Amino acid sequence: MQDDFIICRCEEISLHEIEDAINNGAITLDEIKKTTRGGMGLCQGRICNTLIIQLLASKGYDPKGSTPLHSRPPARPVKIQEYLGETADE
Amino acid sequence: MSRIFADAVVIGGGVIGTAIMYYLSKSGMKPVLVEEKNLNAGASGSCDEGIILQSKNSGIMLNMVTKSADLYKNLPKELEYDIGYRNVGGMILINEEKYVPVIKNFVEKQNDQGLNISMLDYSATHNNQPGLAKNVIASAYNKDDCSVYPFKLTLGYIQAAQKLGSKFLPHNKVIKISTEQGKITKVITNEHEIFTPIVINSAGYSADIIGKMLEIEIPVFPVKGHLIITEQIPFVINHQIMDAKFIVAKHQPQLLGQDSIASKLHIGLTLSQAPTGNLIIGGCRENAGYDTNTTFTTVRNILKNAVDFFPFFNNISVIRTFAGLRPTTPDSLPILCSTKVSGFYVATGLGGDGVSLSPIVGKMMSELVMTGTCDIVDMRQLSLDRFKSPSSHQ
Repeated sequence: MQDDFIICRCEEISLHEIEDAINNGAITLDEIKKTTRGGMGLCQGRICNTLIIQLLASKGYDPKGSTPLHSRPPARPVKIQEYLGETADE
Repeated sequence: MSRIFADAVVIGGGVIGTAIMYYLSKSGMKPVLVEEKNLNAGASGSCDEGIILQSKNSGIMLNMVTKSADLYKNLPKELEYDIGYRNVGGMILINEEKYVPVIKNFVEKQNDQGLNISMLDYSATHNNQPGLAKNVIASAYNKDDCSVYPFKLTLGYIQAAQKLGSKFLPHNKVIKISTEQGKITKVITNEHEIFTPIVINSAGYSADIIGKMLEIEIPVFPVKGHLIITEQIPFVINHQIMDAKFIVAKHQPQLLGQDSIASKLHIGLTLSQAPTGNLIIGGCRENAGYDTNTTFTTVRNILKNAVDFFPFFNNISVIRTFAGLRPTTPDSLPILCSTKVSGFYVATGLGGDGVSLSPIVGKMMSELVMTGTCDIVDMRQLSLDRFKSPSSHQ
């Protein structure tokens, strides 16, 4: 794979940026996200996390053994006005 | 387990720990920073990017943040690292007449202490920040408020400290701190045995756990805050923005009313637009233990308040919500001090001001460690001693 291959399409983070982060001690999805912004974009890692897990595994790390990304709503982008519609909670 | 010798051990890889590590290194020491996870694992990784001067209470906090803002100006050059520092200016928005006198009074006190805040009328406010709702009647503007990207800030401190010969050990959890005759001798982590005469506890809201290892009680507790990230949009938000409720809550809380869910959650707008184009929308204060899940009710109330100020937000999409825990103390002032154990120092309790204050705290703690006193800011009122019960005080 080429160095400038884009791993995270939303934030345009390349393979070598992710590899640099791993070489500098970021060894979980969350740590890589905080170092590179990979997984921080519109899709929230739905595309790139699989690739990053493969990269971590190929370097001998067990990404599943460490803390996974903390998933919180929304599951996909939601317009602010949708949040403000009528609800029964108030 | 490998043996290491270090001039000092700093515990905690947030903005405060890494700042202390950098300023100690700059003073000629070679500290080791140990972190249970990795950089920005706690409050420093779930915060906004504001270095806001005009929200601080006059007195020691305003004194510290003014000095901190001065240090930030030169920090990117000094660290030789792009920490995302931007001098964007800050606005406090007022949308109810009854808040105007409170803010005016607050601004007066701050200008007396050297800030340069202007009160903007309706048209100046709307010219300065387009897109506001018509009921935003005035604002307080401080051109010296700025912002920084916390993830790059810690990396900047760490890399500069490493260049000076200091070490960073991520994934090192402190298991034990040893003393001999009341003096620090070593720190044991899951990977290393580190011989050192000095330990600085900057473990944020976990600083109490580290304190207990030496039977020192540190009254720090987590206060939860939610933040909401939107999709990237063209640049529309020109400043660091807060709403008057934050300031009013500090000074005349009775004006806010107590009954609504929004007031119970201490909802008040904090808003900025990151260089990437995402909006970062807050904020609230909740006592919810160590839980960092987000709740629909809180998110909805924060967004409702944001749309009250910026009606066009309705059509923007939220891509993520998260919550972080601010290390807070009973009197909301930080704990920055030496302790009864020789060589053991504490730097925590910065609440929501860690990013604003990181360089000055780094500098103060490094001076305290190196010389035993601190001339930059009088730290006496930030000592742990202030929490002693009155009977043991005499």
